[in-house]
Amino acid sequence: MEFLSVVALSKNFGGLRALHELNLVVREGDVFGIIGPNGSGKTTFFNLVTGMFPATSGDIRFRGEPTNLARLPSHEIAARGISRTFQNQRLFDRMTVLENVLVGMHTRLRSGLLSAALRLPRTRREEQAAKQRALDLLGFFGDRLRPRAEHPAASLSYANRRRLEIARALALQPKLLLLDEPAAGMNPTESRQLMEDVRRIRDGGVTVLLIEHDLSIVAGICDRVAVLDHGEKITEGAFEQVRGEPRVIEAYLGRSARRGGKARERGGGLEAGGGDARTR
Amino acid sequence: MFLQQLINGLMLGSTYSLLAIGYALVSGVLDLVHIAHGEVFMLGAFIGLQLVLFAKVNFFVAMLGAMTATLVLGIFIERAAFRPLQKGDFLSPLISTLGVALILQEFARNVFGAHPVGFPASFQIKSYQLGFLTVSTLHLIIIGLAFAMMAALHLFLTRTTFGLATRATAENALTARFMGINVNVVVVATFAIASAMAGAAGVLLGLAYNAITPVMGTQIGLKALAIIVLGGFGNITGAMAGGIILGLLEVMSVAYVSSTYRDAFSFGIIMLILIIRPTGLFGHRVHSEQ
Repeated sequence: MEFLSVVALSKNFGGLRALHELNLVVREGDVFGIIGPNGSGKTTFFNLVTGMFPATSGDIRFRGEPTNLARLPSHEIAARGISRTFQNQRLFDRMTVLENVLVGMHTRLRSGLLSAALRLPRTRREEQAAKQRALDLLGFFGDRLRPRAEHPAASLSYANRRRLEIARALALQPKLLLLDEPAAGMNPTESRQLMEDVRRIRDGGVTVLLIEHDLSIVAGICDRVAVLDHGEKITEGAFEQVRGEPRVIEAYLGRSARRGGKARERGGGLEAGGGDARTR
Repeated sequence: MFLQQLINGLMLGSTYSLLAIGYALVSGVLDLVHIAHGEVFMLGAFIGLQLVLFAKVNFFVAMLGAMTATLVLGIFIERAAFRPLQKGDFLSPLISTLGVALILQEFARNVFGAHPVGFPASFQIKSYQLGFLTVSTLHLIIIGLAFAMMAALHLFLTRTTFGLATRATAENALTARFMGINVNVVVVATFAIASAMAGAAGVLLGLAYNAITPVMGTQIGLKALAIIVLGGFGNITGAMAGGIILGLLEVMSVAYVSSTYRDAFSFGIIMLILIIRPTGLFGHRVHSEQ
């Protein structure tokens, strides 16, 4: 049984081929990186897996289930155990930090409207348990979020907002977590911390799909990566294997690389130490 | 004298608030304006009246009946005039609910007639004299019921899981979907709740003013729209405050300015407030995404 298998997945927007015939298998327990230059289809792929829009064609199968996720609405995909964060943060700013996490737990709460209205003891117990679990999730990030549980989400610092997005996504108790550029805008210390956080999430039994521009993070935590360019997968494998492939270097650095540009001079590979690969 | 106007204004304002918070809920969840909300209010008043006149039920049962009927009507409007247009232009639902408004209005005119009608004296209205102040059971019932329903909505939104999902949808429907929230269910529930509250507001205002007409929905619909803009579009607290403010303004303008300029005066004040605070009293919403 394959954990996540993507077969011939395509998405066209009008005449634009955002994703073309993507085939991919993600093993359970991996941190799997999706890398590639801007506009290569990475976020489109995330949007298809989470049902933001239907695929033009192709299949997405999760944990051997016969249902094709490429045809399901987002909320049903979320209920099956796939959650995500967003490249441009989408917190509920008018809610408190704690409430943001509680929204994530929505699918796991069973109490109906009537029992909530009647304040049945079972409902109250469930609410208490939910609140405690939400606080525990905030505690995943040490004392970054938990002391701010009752603050409005809008008041958080940039890095804490990114952390809250992850906590909210974890509240869905996902089997698969999609992180869309979680380190964007973070300083090196925060990025290192984030890598540690992602490892802890993986060790907690959650498979992680990661879009990241910071190649040092990709090199540090991804078990495997797929490289996309112009909506197609150009290669796949361990980052150390694929980073030296000419097609990868070309995708990232353009034609200048082929003419013997920067990347070649440094020893023929994408730099994973220097951080940002958005050199184009 | 002033205190008396305050009580009267509070009575009028609380029914406006009741109508407007449902309106704000629908507008917030859908990011759209539902033009027929005033007509739902009008039908609520008529249905409540018919129940009292012909079914001979008492006033409170009539109000529950009117709320049930408008709740069903709200679900029907969502199905007929909103859901099929989800993928269309943002103006399409505006036009389709305008159509619903006209249909409901002409339906009411043909079935109930165009003449203003009022509730019969179905219960004893007692007045209590507190110094200069006259407080009647009418005041107490209307203010009490309106505030009780608003408190219930507040508890629903802040204390229940479904209420939390509703607020999440109102803030960002797209993100709410990814959190596992079935947005369609939230939208239907929102319409049902808002319409039931509009029906209740119709019965209460009908009781207060004893002049129910098929066209009253249009005028009050515009007032409700002004209220939710005044309160900050889609903001529940703002709509509640806005309703009370408009009720007080109207009563005060009749008492101290001129009854012929009642609406001009109160809308003039609303315009002034909006010039000073363009996002409304409680508006802090910034549309950056989507």
